[in-house]
Amino acid sequence: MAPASEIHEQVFDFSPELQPASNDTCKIMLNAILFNDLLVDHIYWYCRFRWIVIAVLLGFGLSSFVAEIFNYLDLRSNLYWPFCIAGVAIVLNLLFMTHASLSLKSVSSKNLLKNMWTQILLDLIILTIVVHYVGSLNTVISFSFLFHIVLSCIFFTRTQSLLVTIYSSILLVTCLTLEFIGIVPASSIYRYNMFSPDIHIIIIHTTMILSIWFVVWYLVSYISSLVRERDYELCTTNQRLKETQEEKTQHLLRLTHELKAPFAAIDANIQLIQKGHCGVLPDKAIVLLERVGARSRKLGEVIQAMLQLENVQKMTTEMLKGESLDLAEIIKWCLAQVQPTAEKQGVKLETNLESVHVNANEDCMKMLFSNVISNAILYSHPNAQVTVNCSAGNPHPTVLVEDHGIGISPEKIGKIFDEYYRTDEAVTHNKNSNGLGLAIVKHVAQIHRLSIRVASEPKVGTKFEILFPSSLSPST
Amino acid sequence: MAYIMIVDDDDDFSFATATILESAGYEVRVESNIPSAESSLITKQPDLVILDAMFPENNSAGFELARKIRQSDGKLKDTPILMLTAVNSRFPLGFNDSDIDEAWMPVEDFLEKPVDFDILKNRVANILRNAKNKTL
Repeated sequence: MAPASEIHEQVFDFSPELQPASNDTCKIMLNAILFNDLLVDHIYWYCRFRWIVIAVLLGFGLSSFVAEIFNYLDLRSNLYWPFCIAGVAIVLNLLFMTHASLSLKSVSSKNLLKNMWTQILLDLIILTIVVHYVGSLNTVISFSFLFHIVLSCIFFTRTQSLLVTIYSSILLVTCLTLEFIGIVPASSIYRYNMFSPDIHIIIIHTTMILSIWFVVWYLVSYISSLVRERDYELCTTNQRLKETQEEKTQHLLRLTHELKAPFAAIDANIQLIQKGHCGVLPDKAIVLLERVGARSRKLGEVIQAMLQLENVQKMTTEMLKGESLDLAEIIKWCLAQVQPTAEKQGVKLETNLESVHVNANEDCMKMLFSNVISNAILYSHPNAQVTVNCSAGNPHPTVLVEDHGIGISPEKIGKIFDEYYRTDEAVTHNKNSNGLGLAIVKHVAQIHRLSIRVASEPKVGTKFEILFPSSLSPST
Repeated sequence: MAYIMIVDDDDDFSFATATILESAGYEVRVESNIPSAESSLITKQPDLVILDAMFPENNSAGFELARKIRQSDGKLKDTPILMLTAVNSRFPLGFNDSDIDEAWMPVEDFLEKPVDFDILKNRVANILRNAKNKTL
C-alpha cells in the first residue's frame, strides 16, 4: 500500500486588523536610523559644539588677563581654571572624535551609543566644575544645564531625558553640598560674593533651580514626544505610499506583459504561416493573415499607449525624478526609433540638434518626442520633409518639429490633446492612429511645466514648438 | 550547426521562434522555465541563449538568469545572450542601448516582442558571428 501523501494546510487571513502594525515597523525603522546615521551626526554635532565652548572658555580665560576690563566689570582677573577645563575638553573631544570614526568603520551602533552617553555624562561633570568656578549660587550659570536637558529631550526618549535631568540635579546638589560643608571652597567670577552661604537660601535657591529644570524637562519632552509621534505617522504614511507605488508599478508591468504577450504569440505564428512553414496558402488567405497581423500589432501598440498614458496621468511634478539630460541625445534616440516608419512613408528627416541640457525625466522625454516626431512623419505628405531642431533658445531651450502634411484646421487645434481625439483628416490619412499619443504628450508637458505652441495650416503642415521653462535648466 | 536555447514561458511564441530558427539551420532547444533551463545549460552549453525577462513567479527571472550565466565558471559565462521580451522592468518604454550593462542587463542584444522574424534571424546570425570571431 502506498504511503499517504502529506497534506499541507495554510491559512490565509486577509483581515486588516490582523496585519502587523506598520507604525511599529516605522518606530523600529526610525530608531534604527537614529542608531546609525543620525547617531553619528549627533556625535559630530556635539563635538563641533564643544569646540565652540572650548573657544569661549579660552577667550574668557585670556580676557581675564586684561585686568582693566575685568576690574571694571568687578570680575576676578588672572583666571587659570578656564584653561585647565578647556585642556581637558580638548583631549576628550579628540578622543570622542577618534572613537566615533573608528566605531563608524566597524559599523557598531552600540559603540556609537556608548560614545554619545559618555560625552553627555562627562560634559555634565565638566559643566558642574564650570558652574562651581563661575559661581553656583551667585550667578545664573546653573541654568546652562538646561542646554543638555533640552537636547536630551529632543534626541532621546522621555525616560532617558529624565535620567539626564536627574543626573544633572545630583551633580548640582553635590557641588552645592561640597561647597557648603567646605570640602570644596565656594568660588565665583565676581570679586565680591553676593550671597552669604546660608543653608535656607541654598535650599530655596536649589529647589527653585531644580523645579525650573524639571518643568522644562516635562514641557520639552512632552512636545518632543508629540513631534516624534508625528514623525512616526509621517514615516508610516510615506512607507505605505512607497509600497503602493511599488505595487502599482509591478501591477502595470505584469498587466503590460499579460496583454502584450498574447499578441506577440499571435504575430509570431502568423509570420510562421506567412513564411510558408505550414504549406502554401491561397492568395486571399495571405491577404487576410496580413490584416490579422496588422490589427494584432496595432492592438499591442494601443495597449502600450494606454498603459503609458495611465502611468503618466498618475505622475505629478513632485514625484518626478529629474536628471540632467541632453535633449539632442534624447531626440537622436527617438529619431532612431521612428526611422523605419519614416522610410516606409518615404519621409525625409532633417535635423539640426544643438546640445541642450535640461533637468527632466528621461522616459517621459522619450515618450514626448517619440510621439510628436512620429505624428509628424505619419501625417506628412509622401516624400515630404520633417524638420527637427533643438536649440538653447532665447530665453528658453526649444525643440521644433515641423512637417509638411495634412495639417489641422483652426477649429480642431484646441482638441488635439484630448484622449482618443482624431480629426477626420487624420483617420483618413492614417488608419492606425489611436488618438493617445498627444494625450501622453500633454501629461508629460504638464508634469514638466512645458509650453507647447502648435501652428498649423490645413494641407500645408504643422509646427510643434516645445518650450522648456528656465526652472528645468540644470543650473537651477 | 550552432545550438540555440530559447528560454520562454510562452509556448506559442517559443514554438514559432524555434520553428523559424530550425528552418534557418540551427539546432534549437526550448525551455519553458528557469530551473529546467539552468540544468540544460549545464548538460549542453548553447552557442546562444534567447531569453525572456518575465516569468510567472518572478518578473525579472530572465535578468537574474542572465546575471547567473555571467557569474558562472568556465565557458558558460561567455555564452551570448539575446533578451527577447514583451516588456522590461524599465517600464514604460522599451529597452535602449544604454540598458545593456554588466550590472542590470548583461546581454549581447535585446529585441522587444512582437518581433519581425527576419530581424531576429539577422541579430542571431550577427551575435553568433561575433562570438565566433571572438574565440578565433
